Amino acid sequence: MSFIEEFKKIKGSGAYILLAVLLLLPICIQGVLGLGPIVTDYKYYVTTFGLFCRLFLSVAIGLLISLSFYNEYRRKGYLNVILNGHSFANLIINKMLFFYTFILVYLLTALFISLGFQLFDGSNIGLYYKELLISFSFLFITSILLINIHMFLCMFFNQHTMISLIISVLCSFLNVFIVPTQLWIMFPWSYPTRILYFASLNTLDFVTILLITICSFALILYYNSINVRST
Amino acid sequence: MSSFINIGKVEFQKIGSFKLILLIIISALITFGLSLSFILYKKEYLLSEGLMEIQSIISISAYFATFTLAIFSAINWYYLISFENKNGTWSILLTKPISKFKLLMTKHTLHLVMYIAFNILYTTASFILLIIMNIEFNISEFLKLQFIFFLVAITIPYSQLLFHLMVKNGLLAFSLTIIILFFFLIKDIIPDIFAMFIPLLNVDNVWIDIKNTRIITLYCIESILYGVIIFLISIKNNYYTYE
Repeated sequence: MSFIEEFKKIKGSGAYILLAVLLLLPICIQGVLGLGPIVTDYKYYVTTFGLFCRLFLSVAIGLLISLSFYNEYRRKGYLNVILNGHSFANLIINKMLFFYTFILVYLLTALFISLGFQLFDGSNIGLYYKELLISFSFLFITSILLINIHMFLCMFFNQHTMISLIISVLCSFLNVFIVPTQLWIMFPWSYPTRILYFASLNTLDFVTILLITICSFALILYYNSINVRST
Repeated sequence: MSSFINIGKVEFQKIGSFKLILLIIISALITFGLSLSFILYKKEYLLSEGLMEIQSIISISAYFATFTLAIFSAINWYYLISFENKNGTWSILLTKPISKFKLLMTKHTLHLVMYIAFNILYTTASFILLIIMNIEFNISEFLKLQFIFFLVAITIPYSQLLFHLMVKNGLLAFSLTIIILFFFLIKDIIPDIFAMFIPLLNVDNVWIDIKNTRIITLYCIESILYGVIIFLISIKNNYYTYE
């Protein structure tokens, strides 16, 4: 359970407060705006999650990963790993597990807040819980894909972890324009938004997303093994 | 004066002149590319609504320039403020090798130079855009619109600086850029009376009353005042606690 220790590394930097703001701001605003009889049930869930997935999720992931890697450089974390005889592979796997756990908790929090709004709006969750489950599971999978991409960027650019954050901000901005077009499948940052409208996707799209996620895993693990050999 | 120029040169070298020039060029190219693709994508709609004229085209390119400027200024201020933290300069500054005022003045000047360079390239991009789209326009009107954008858009980089002063962490301040983008995306739901007094939204508000010289002047003054206030805060700010 040493990946829990990763949580403490970022503690105190104000990142968790900012991540909470990035979660609460879009969901609460969209939740309040969507109250009323116009959007109900699953559409209301999409309303509460829409802006969060489109703009904030990738920035939150980019920030978490960049800050975690940046802190390792700034606080001489890598040097400590070498001096204490630990392996880099363990460090990266711990980080990976921490990011996955964190994002799961983060998305669950978002879901519970959204469910709170849905209950307040009078939606009958029992009618569309299957859609919620499918959507949420794929949202988590696409978030894992984004985590893998940003982790790879941080590992590739070494101490220039800022590049990962720049890309996440730039992509969340481009996301606004790319999501409605046919090009979305080539742009992983648009997957969380498109997955909310999963009824409009075909099987090939789901298979592509899953394949890309598996490839991203392979890429991270392969790159990690190369990194270990070279050090 | 010569010492200012000298510090300015060193500042330019410290960050990397090639990196800064590349940043300006890429930002201008992104603005140009996004504006052009949007106009081409919506060409039929714009033609049918009679919006293929200078003001609409400039407002479209200004809309994209606003977003690019938000990211551009975020990177720019990150290099100017946060790199000093990375190099441990803020604490060395307490021993007064040079005055904090002088250092910050050069940073602001360098930023202003970058901002002007971005605007020149953006103006050129808009000019090429108008020529490509075959739109007849008056050059003085075009320059006037660009100058208005130059004055009101100053709120975006200074908001970015405000984030640095508030959170005192380079990466966190950078990620707050998303708040700027968020404000622009939800602008329609903010009542006009409130939107008028949010300096950050001036760059978008200005296109609503572009013909009204009095209101435009007020927006420009409000934006410059906002910039000056943040500039003064940045001079007074204690950077020792910067993370």
